[in-house]
Amino acid sequence: MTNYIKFIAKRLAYMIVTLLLISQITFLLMNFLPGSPYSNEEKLTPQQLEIMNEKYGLSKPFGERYLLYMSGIVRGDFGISLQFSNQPVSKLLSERIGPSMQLGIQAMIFGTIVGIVLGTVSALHQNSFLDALASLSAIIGRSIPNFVFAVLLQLIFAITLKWLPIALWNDGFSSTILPTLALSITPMADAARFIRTEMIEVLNSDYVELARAKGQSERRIAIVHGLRNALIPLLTLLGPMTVGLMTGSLVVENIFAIPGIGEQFVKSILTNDYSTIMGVTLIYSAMLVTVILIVDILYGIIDPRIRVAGGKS
Amino acid sequence: MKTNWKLGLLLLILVLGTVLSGCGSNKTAESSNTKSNNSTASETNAGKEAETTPQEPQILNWIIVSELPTADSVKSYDTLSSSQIEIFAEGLYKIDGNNKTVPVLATGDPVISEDGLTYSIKLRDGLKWPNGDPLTAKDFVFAWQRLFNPATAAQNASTHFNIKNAQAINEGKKAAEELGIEAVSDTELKITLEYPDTYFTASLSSVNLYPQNEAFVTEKGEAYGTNSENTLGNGPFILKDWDGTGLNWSFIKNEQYWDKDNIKLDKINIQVVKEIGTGINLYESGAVDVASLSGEYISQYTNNPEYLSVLTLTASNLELGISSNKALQNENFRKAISLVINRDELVNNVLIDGSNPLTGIVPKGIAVNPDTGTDFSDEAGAIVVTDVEEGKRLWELAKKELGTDKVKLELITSDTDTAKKTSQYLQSQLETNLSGVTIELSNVPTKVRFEKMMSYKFDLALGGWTGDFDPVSYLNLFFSTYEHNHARYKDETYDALITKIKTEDATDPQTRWKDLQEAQKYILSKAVVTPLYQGASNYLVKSKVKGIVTHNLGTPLEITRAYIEQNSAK
Amino acid sequence: MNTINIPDSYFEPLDKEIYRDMEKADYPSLTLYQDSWRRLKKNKAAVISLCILLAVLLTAFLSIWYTPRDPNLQNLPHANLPPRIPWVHMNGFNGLAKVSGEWVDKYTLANVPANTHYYFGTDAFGRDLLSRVLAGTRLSLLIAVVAALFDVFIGITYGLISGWKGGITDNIMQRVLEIISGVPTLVIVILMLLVFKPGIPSIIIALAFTGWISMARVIRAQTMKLKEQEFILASKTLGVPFIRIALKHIIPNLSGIIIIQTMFSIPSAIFFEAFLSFIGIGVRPPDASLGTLLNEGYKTFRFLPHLMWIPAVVLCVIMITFNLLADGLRDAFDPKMKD
Repeated sequence: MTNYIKFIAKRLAYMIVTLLLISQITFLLMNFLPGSPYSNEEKLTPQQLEIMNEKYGLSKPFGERYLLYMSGIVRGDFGISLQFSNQPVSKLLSERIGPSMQLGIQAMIFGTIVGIVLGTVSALHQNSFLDALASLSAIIGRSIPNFVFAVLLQLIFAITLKWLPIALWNDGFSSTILPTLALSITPMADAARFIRTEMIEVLNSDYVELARAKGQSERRIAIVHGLRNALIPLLTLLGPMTVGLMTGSLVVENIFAIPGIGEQFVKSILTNDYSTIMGVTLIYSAMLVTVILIVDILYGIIDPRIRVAGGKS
Repeated sequence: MKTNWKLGLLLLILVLGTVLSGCGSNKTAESSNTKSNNSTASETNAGKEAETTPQEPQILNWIIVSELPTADSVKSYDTLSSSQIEIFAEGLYKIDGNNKTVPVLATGDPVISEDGLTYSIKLRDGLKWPNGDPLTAKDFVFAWQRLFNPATAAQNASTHFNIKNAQAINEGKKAAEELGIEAVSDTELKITLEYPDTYFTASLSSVNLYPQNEAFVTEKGEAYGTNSENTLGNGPFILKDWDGTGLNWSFIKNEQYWDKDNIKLDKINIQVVKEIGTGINLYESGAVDVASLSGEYISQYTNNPEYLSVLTLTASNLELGISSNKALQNENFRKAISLVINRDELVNNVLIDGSNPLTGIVPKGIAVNPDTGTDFSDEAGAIVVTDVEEGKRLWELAKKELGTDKVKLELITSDTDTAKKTSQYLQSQLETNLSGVTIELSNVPTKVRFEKMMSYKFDLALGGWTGDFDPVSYLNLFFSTYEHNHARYKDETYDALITKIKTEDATDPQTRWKDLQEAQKYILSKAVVTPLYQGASNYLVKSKVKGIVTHNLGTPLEITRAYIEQNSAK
Repeated sequence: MNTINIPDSYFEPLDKEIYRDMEKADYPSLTLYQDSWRRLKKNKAAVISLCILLAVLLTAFLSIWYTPRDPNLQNLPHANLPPRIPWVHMNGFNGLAKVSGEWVDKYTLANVPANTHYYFGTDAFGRDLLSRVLAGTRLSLLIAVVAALFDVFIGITYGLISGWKGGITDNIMQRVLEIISGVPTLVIVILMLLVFKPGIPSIIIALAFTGWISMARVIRAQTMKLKEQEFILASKTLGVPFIRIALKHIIPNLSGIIIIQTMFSIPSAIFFEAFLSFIGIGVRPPDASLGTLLNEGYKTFRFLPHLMWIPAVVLCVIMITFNLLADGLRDAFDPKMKD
C-alpha cells in the first residue's frame, strides 16, 4: 500500500511539472499567433493599438507576462477574456463548462454502455447475423461525421416527429438528449469494436477453455472473463476521449445552441483571446493528466500482472 | 471476493460519474426554472393561449448569431453590440428608414457655426434615466470624455477623432476636460470639432456617443456594462437577465422613456444561435420570430414573402499587392483583371445573398449629393465594367510589356463561406479569360489574412472595408501613407486630391462632393483595386411582426418600434 | 555360439529418394502469408470487401487521368442540379427535385440539353459532383493512408518502447505524450499557416503531430500486459533481443488492436481534414476531398440532399469495406484462430 501512495505522490509531482510545461509551450506558441486580440483591429490606428496593449498588459515582455499570468493562476485569477469587455475568464469558463461536461459525461456513459452491449453481442455470436448487424451499426456510426449525425437527429426527432426540442438549453433534460446522442456515436463505435476484438481473443484463450471445462455458464464466462479483460484496453482509449468530450464540441454545441466551452475555445484561438486559450488549455490538460493517472491506477487494480510504472524498483 | 471489490470500485466510479452528471442536470434545471420567465418556448405557448384575448402581451422572440461582447456603449465596436445597445440606450440622433439623420434626444438639427467647427444642440426637457435620475447634457460630456480616456481603451475611439482634442486626449497628451464638448446648460450642448465635417451630425447617431450616467458608471467602475445589473441605458427598453457571457437575455419596456407611448412591445427575448440552419429550424417551428440567413440558405428563401435583405456598407474588393508583386505593377494587367470579372454573375449566380455588384469604391447608401440628393454611387454610375474582349486585349499588351506570358498569383481570403465561394469564382474567371494566369487559393483564418495584408506582402487578397458616414473613409484607403493602403500605392495627384478633400473642401460641400467623385474616378482609372460587391444582411422575419426599420448606415435592423400584429379579428 | 552368417547380398541399400518422399507433406508447406491468404480467401465478406476496395482504389487512382468532366470546371447556369441518370426513373435520380413540396424538373428549368446527364448532380458552381467525388475520394484516401502510416510507425514504435522499457523511460515518454496532447492542436495548426501554405503538406504535418497519440497509448498498455506473460518472459530469458521479441511476439499478438486502431485513424483523418478545411488550412479550394464535400453538403442537405448523401454514402462504403476487410485480415493473421 505504501508503494501505491509513493507512486501516486510521485505521479502527482510529475503532473504539476507536465502542466507547467504545457502552459509554457502554449504561452510561447500563442505569442506567435498572427494579429492582435482586438476584433476590429482592421480599424485600429497604431497609437490605438499601443493604448489597448498597455491596458491589457500585452506590451510587457514575454517572460514577464508569463510570470504575471502564472502568479494570477496561483491566486485563482485566470485573467480577463478579450472577446468580451471585462469578463473574467474564470466566470466565462465556469458558466460554459457545466453544459459541456454534462453532455460529455452523458454521451460517454450512454455511448460506452451501448458500445459494450453491441461489442459483447457481436463477440458472443461471432460471424452471425447479429454480429454483422451490430458491427455494421458501429462502423456506420464511425463513418458518419457527428455534425451530419446531429443535423439528422435534429431533423428526425425534433422537426419531423416533434418529440424533442430543436435546440436551445432551456428545457432541462430533454434539451440534452439529442446532443448527447450526437456525441455518443464515437465512444459507442470505438467501444463496440474494441470489446468485440478483445472478447473474441479472450474467449479463445486457454483459461476460458478451462472455465468452460469446469462447466461455468457461457454468460458467466462472457462477463467475468471476457468483458473484464476486454475492458482494459478500452480504458486507455476512453479515458482521454472522455476528457475530449467533456471539453466540448464546436459543431454539436453550435447546432444545438448550447452554451458550452468547445465553441468558445475554437473562437478564442481564432480571435487571439490569449487568456481564454490558456484557461481552457490548462483545464483540459489538468483533466487529461488526471484521467491518465486514474487509468494507470485502475490498470493495476483490474489486472495485477501489470505493475504500475515505477512500482518495480 | 478479491475481484469483487475491484469491480465494485469500477462501479463506484461509474456511479460517481452519473451522480456528477446528475448534479449538472439538476443545476441547469434549476437555472432554467428561475429563468423560465424568459424561456422562448414557454413564451410562445403563453402567446398562443392568449391569442383569443384582445390584450395579448407584445413579445418578440429574436435571435442573433453571436454573443454580446459588451453593453458599455463607449466600448462597443461591432455591429452586434451596437444593435443591442440601441435597444436599451439612445443618443442625440438616429438614422431613420431612409438613411436620414433624425433627432431623438435632441430637439432638432444642430446649429452649426459659420466655420463649421461649432455645433450647438438642444436636448429634450425632462429626460430621465430608468432609475429616476435626470438625464442632462453633463451625461454626454461624461460619456464622451470617457470614450477618449486612454484608461478606457475604447476600440472605436479613433472613429471620432474629428472632435476637438479627442486624439490628443486618447494619446494621453491632453486632459479629458479639454475635449471639445461642453454642457452649456442641463439641456444644451456645445461641441467643437478639430476640422469641419459635413457628416458629423450623422456620426452623432453612433452608440459610442450615447450619454452615460456618471454616478452609476463611476460606482460600477470596471464592471460597468458587464452584465444587466451593471448596465444603465436610457432607451426604449431595459436590458434584463444578461449575465455577460450567456446565450440569452431579454429587454423589457422602459417606463421612463420619453417616447414610451410609441413603444408597443412589452418584451424582447434574445437568443444567440450560431448555426444558421438551427436558427431557421427554430424559425420554422415558430419558436422565434426572426432568423438570420447566410450562404446557401439565402437562395432557398429569396422568393419567400418573409425574406428581408438589407444592403450593408461593406465594400468587398479584390485587393492587389502592387508593391510586392512586379506583374501587378503593370497597369494593363490590373485593368485586365478588373475587366474580365463579371460582377453580376458573381452576385446573382454564385453568392445569391442579396449583395449588389460594386462598380465603384464607395458603396450605395452612404451619402447623398448635398444639392440634388442623389446617392453617391448612383451619381458615379458604373465606373468599373465587364468587357472580356478588352480585358484579353490588355492582357496581351501586358504580357508584352512584362516580357512573360505566365503569371502565377496567390489569392488570400478569409475562410468564410462567402469568401471561399468568391475566391473560387474569381479563380475560374481569371484563369479561363486570361490564359497564362494561374491563381492559387489560400483560404485562411481572418487573422492570418489580415496579418499578410498588413505586412504588405501578398499578390491578391479578398478584402472588405466598412467606412463610416463619409465617402472619404473609403477613398482614403489609397492615400499613400495610410496604414491600410495595403497595395502601398503611391500617387501624388491622388494624395493631393484627398488632402484637399480633407482640408480645403471641408466648408464647401458641393466642391467637396465633386472632388470625392473625381478622386474615385481617378483611382479607378489606375485600376489600383478591383471592386467586387456590396454585402447584404439577410433575414427571415415573421409576417406578423410589423414596424421593423431597416437602414444601411449603422445596424441593419431596428426593432424598438416593432409590434406583433394582433389577429384576434379572425 | 553359433554365428549366423547373413550374406551381405541379402541387404540392399535403400533408395534414398523413397524416404525423402515419405517425409514430404501431402500439401505444400505454406509461409505465414500464404497461410493467411488461404484463410482470408475463405472469408466471403472480406473477399468481397477487398474487391470493392480495390475497385474504389483503382477508380480513384484512374481519376488522375480521367474523370467524366473536369472536377473543378465551373458552369454556373447548371448549378445545383439533382442527379439525372438516363435509365433510372425514380424521383430524385431523374433530374426532378422537390421544391417547396412539389417535384420540379430542374434540368428543364436550367435549359440543360436533353443528352447532358449529371449522374450525381452538380454543386453550387455547376461542377459535376461525380467527378468531384472521384477526385475527392482520391485525396481523402491519400490523406487516410498517410495518417495510417504515421499511426503505425510512430505510434507502435513509441508505444512499444515506452511499454517495454518501463521505469524512467516510460515515465518520461508518457509525460511527453501528455504535453503533446495538452497543447492545443489548433494553435499549432494556425501557426503552421504562417510558415506553410494551406494544402496537403500542412494537413500531413498536422496529422503527424497528433494522429499517433492514441495508438501509442493503446500499444503501450498492451505491451505492459504482454511483457509479463510467459512466452515473452521465456524469450527474454533466452536472450532474444528486444527488436526480435517485438516483431515476432508482441506485434503479431497485437495485430487485432493495431488493425482496429488503424481503421479508426482513417475516418478520424478524413474528418480532421474536413475540420481543417473548415478552419481554412485543409485542402485548397477548388480541390475537393470527401471531408470538404460533406462539410459543404450538410449545410444544404434539406434543399439539395444529393450534395450530402452521395459523399456520405461513398465514405460509408469505403469505411464498411475497410472494416470488414480488417476483420478478415485480423482473423487470418491470428495463428490462434481455428479454421
